[in-house]
Amino acid sequence: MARKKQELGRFTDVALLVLISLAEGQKHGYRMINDIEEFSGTALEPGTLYGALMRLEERGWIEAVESTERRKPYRITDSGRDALSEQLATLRRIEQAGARRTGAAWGLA
Amino acid sequence: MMRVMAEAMLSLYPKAWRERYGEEVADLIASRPARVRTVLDLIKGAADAWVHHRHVPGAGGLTVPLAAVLVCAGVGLGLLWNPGVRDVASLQGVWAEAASMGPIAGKMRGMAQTWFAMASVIAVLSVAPLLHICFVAMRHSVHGPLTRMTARRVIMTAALLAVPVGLVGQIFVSMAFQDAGYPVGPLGEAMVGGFLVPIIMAMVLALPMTAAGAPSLGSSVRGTGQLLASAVICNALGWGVVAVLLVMGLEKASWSFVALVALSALVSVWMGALVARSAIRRGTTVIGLLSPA
Repeated sequence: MARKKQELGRFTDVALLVLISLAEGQKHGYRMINDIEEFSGTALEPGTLYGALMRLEERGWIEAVESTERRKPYRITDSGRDALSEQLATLRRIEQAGARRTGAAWGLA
Repeated sequence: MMRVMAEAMLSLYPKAWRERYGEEVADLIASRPARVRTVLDLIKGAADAWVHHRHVPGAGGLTVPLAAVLVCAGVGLGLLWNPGVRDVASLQGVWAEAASMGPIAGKMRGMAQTWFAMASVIAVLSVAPLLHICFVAMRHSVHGPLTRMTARRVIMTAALLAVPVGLVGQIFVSMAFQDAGYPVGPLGEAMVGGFLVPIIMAMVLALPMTAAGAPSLGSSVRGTGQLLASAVICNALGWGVVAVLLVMGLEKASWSFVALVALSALVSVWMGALVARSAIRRGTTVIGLLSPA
């Protein structure tokens, strides 16, 4: 798992955003970019988005949905959901530790 | 303008990536505002796709484009000549030693120059039959639109290449026969052709590769490759004569000079062979398309 995360390289954050975006349902690239910008404020460009999609697809965390349309939708897989849950749990632990420590340091605790 | 540039950036990606994602990304570029940032992001993405080629779903082994290999080999040959082999002291010393053995050295120098000159002439003339067929195909409506369009492209490519090929040929003649350029002496004049012949062959290769776009021109493509193979043989013979001259003056040659000449000969012959083999294989593949399955 740790090795896989490391291999995501500069796409780690983007990959997380993509997994979160797809967690609510399948989307194609255009909708993913709009959705991610809406919920995170991050404006992704096509090169970065598809770099992340390539890695996520190769790991089996997302898959392309067969479609007759030009825009191919993607959906998150079960292993993708597991990876996302694990990553979000880690972020929650980090957020809690950060809140505790900054609170103590700033006299808010 | 930015959108056109962004779309052009897709050609920088590996083929497997383009086949898998190219259409989707093109659609995305077309449907969103394209900025400088978009273009830069695509360039960065292309570099990333090349570095992590194995991540592309369904990607096979990484194949380096032939043009990139030939450009690198050509630059390598240029560097092997100067500053590599163009070591005036060694060139003069080896020649003086070889010349002390009698007039045979002068004859061998002439032989090397002749083999290299023949190689370059054969390389240039190798495309003559192909160009003739393309001229005919352009003028006769019995040929299909694909053949006529490809033939026109071949003729246009030939017109574009005429100047650079002529320029390299002129450099060869000036340095080998007219005492121009650096004071490389008779040995340098004998071997300079071996550095330029593969470059001429690589430029000429653009014509059969363009012609391979039309299966009906396949036999001409293969024929060009076979003629280029003759140029490779002449080039190798030229290097063989240079090797004999080097052995004759070996006493005055440093080990690094000998190693560089040997490496230059290998790169030169390998590059020429790669050009000829590519044309023959492409021609054979294209001919295969015409055969019933």
